[in-house]
Amino acid sequence: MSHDSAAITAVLWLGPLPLTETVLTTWGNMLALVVAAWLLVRHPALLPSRKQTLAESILVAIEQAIAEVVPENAVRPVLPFVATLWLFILCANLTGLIPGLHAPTRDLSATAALALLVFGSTHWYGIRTKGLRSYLKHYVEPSPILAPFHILSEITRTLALAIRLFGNIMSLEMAALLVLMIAGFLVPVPLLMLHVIEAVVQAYIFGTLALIYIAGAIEPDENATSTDSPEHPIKEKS
Amino acid sequence: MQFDWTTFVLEIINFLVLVWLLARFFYRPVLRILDDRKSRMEAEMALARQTQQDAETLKQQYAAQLADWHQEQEKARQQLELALARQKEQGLQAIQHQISDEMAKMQAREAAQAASRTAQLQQQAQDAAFDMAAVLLQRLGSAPLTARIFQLFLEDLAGLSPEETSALRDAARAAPENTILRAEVAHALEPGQEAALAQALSALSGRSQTVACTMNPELIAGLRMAIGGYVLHANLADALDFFKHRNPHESS
Repeated sequence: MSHDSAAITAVLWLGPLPLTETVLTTWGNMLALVVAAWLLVRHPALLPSRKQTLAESILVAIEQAIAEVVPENAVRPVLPFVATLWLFILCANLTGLIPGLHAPTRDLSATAALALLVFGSTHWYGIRTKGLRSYLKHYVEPSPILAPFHILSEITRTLALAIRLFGNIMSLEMAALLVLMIAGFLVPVPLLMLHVIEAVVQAYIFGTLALIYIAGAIEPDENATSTDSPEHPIKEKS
Repeated sequence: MQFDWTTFVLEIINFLVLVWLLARFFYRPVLRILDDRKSRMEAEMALARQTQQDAETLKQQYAAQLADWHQEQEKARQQLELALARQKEQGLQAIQHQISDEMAKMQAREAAQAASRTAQLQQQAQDAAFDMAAVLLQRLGSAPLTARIFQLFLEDLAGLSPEETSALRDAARAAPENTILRAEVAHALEPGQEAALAQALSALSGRSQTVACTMNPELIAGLRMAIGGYVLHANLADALDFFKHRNPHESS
């Protein structure tokens, strides 16, 4: 392992724009996801084929997971964003298993971009659902004194999202490289298995946290101020 | 830990594009199919519920109809049992009447048979009695007895009522002149008795009569003679025969 393996450097230049490996791998992931989706639901029919059944199963599972957290009328608007988060992060995390490639999520720039999108989507869905005034009102509840803490909480949870994902994936890759360097060719295989589990778990955690933040923005109440924890009790649907 | 602003911005754009692409090519088609299927299933479920409701209604109607049928069946059965009981009672009464009639007929028949048997026995006893009397009289029959009966005959002939006398006279006169009157006698008459008979008959008829006597032992004792349509019996055989054939009820 060289020091360059952990560094993010520009691979290509698109005019003045430097294209890093993260961007290129992300494009590859995007292409794979879109092609896979197109292949699965190329000919949608009421009597589904095996591929369509797989696609429906994935989407129904995601929809049910979202429906457990957000109100029923908000499931469909939230689904594209959250489902894409889950699918993309899972795909990106697993990219690190391919020899010669690195997971885009080992780059803080990528995880920060995703965290910022979650931050923005939270406000976007909150304002769309409740209106600007009503949404901003939750920052001064139960007391205006708590407004700075609300804002600080949102910033820190966004940073936590970005750094959690980045740290876990990068440390996994680093550990695999270190074991490979020290122990030999086949020894890191168990660690790669752990990588698969970690990739799934981290994708699930990131998407679930994003979902909980969005749900908190859609239904702000007494409990909505402490939605930073996955153990946050799910509110009853209206 | 590096941070590249270009990568950061490109990653934001990439993700938004990916959201759009997946929504366009994955989420919308699959969700539309799911919604269509769900709506069809709901429609089919509604149809099934309606069908089930209709079936329940039909089932209830059928149950009510069945209950009515059972009620009617029970009613008809009770009526039938009542009619059968009535018919049975009537049949029993008819049979009892028939039996009593048959018994009355049988009793009448038995009574008639008994009466017939009694009458037959009486007749047989009577016949036997007359036969015995005839045998006894056969043994008792004799010329003196015939002569005595002859005397009684003449006396009775003389003592006839005017109507009887008139009737005998008419019968004697109806016969041609000089007709010989025939008389049967059980024994030979004594001399002069035949002339006495002719004389008595001549006196009765008012013209001269001739009598011819013939022997007939079957008369036992006495005589028998015919005058026109009349037959005069003055003998034991005819007397026995008269009593023999007389209706016993007439005597009583």
